[in-house]
Amino acid sequence: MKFIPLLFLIISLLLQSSVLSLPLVLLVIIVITVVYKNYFVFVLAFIFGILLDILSFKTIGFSPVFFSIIIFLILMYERKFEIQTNYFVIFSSALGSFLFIIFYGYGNLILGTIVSVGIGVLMFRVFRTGIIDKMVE
Amino acid sequence: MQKRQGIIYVFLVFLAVSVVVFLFFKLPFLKPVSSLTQAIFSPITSTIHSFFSFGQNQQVKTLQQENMYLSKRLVDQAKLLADNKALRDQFAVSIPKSENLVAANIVGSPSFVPGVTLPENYILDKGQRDGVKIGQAVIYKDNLVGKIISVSYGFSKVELLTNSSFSITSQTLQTNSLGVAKGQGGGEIILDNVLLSQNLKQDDLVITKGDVGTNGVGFLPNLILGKIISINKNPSDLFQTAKIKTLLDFTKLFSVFIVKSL
Repeated sequence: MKFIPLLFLIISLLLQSSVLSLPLVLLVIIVITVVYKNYFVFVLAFIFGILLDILSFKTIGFSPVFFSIIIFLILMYERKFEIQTNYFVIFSSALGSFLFIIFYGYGNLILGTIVSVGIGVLMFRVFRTGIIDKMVE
Repeated sequence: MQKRQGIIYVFLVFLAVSVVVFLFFKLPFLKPVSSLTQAIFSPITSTIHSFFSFGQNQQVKTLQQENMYLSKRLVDQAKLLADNKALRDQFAVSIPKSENLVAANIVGSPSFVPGVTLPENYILDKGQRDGVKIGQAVIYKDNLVGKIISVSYGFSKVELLTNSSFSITSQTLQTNSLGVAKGQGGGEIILDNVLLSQNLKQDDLVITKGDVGTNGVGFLPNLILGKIISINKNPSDLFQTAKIKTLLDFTKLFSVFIVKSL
């Protein structure tokens, strides 16, 4: 089951760098952080951030910095809020997507943020289902 | 408290590493790493891009190509008429010659919704090893596509003329009105900074004025930007503007040509 987050990251990286101007990699990173709450997500964020910048011809290093800050904020608020809820995923996806679309210079800011939130919540429910299955096993 | 400190330490480590990468990736000896990565992923991104560029009705495609060919003939005819009126033996008409063109395939074109919204950048499979430089024009059948804004060893990035960061001096074909064509994003271009005293006509073609630097890199004159679809002329304004529609469908292009230095 733990290969599924990696698979999602690879697919989102390929889609974002070739055809879509949505922060898919960021959304997967947020969902993985919320669901697994593991420090390893920093490693994934770093690696896939570098790859995203290389494939998108952006300034290399910008995405890992951005992703690290988002993960840090989520993990810092873990104790204060219940983060494994749809509401938190909506909030973090909206905020992260909004800022990422601005910094990356993608168009369709409002619509892109709304679509990103939808994708983020959908992925969160998929990953949550995976955790429930593991608990049942 | 301990866990909180752990999070802070891990975050600071990765932040520091990311900043180091940001600073050192500009060094030339690390560029082969990014070029190799692009080369590895290029076949996959190219396949994905091709998959999302939906098939097109053959008749529509034929009509579009015929339209572009006729527009080119129109430009050529206008130039010939101008040649007959003026002494041309001391001037050369600059047309992109085939030996100055590098054919490049589009391996990536991020857009919001593929096939619905329009891309604003292309990733091409030609780079420094093929003589591509920043600032070179990218064309397709005498139509300007955009300019090179970023180059790696094997790939390059094109800023399309519909991108909100793009602008170029231009003129209209029939009335020779000068202006600045500016991308507006979302597939739109406007012709701005046109004096009120100058005449704009609907359906008139807009072509490049020519902007080649001393290193031979830049935009040749008489490249087609698009067609005027509406004019906004207000006597109280300093300038008049016009909306331009490009003759190209950026969602359907698979290959373009880079104009190397002359």
